[in-house]
Amino acid sequence: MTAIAFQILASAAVIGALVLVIGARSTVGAGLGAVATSIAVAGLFALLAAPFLAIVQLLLVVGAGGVGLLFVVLLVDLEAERMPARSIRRRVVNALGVIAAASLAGLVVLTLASTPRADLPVDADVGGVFALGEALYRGFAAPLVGLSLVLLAGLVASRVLVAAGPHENEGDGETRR
Amino acid sequence: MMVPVDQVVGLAIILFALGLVGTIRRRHVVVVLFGLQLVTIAAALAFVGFNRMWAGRALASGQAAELDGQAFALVALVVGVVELVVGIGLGLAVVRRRGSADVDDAHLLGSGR
Repeated sequence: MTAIAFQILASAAVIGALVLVIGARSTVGAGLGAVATSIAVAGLFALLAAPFLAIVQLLLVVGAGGVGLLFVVLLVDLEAERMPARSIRRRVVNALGVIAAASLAGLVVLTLASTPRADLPVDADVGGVFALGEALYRGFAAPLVGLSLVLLAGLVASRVLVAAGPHENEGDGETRR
Repeated sequence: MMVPVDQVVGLAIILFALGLVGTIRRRHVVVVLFGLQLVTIAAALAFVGFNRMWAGRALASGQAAELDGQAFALVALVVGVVELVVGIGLGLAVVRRRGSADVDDAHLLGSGR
């Protein structure tokens, strides 16, 4: 049952990523592909004994990130994406991309061959809120403080960037309110 | 629950590669941000996968399970969302200034268009 769920979620994640990268012509389609991948990865977190991370993934990445981006796309008049015309340079880049993809496929095969299988029992409390909170606040207190500062900086930066009007962005030296 | 960790890590690599290709290949600022988000999610998945393996081994040998991998994954997810939010702000500022959401159009500093 767990193996079937893993295969379904993994397939959904890869399909969503392919829609984002290749399949979707529109920005909203790409966004929906990214949201589908994020939801599938949240399910994978739950399968890997990390339920708190699964909820965080749904709230932060899917809820805040994905939906926020989709709202930006829907509310702001962004033009459609223009893909570059086919040229020799583009074909060379594509060929290099194929070589890189083949190398990456070899890396995947090597990783699968060298990583041992974890057919081991896991305690039900592993990855729970209490256990993860204890690990965070005992061993990662300083990084958590740094993370809060990063969050604050991101919040202030996004507010300043978005709140600035078009006249302020033109840099004409005059601030009109 | 028994989940093959090698397949989890392989999936993380595939998602990382797809996110990287999306970041490089696509030209719309919003889609590039989606690609970067996918890269971050793939890294977090690899962290959680390896943590699952090591936690299982520790419990099987009678030791306490360490959750360092999940802590790192949490940090990666939060930083990824912050990066997304700041990227949205930058993208909107670029669109307002340049009138285009194409990242290739924003290749000149200063007042160049």
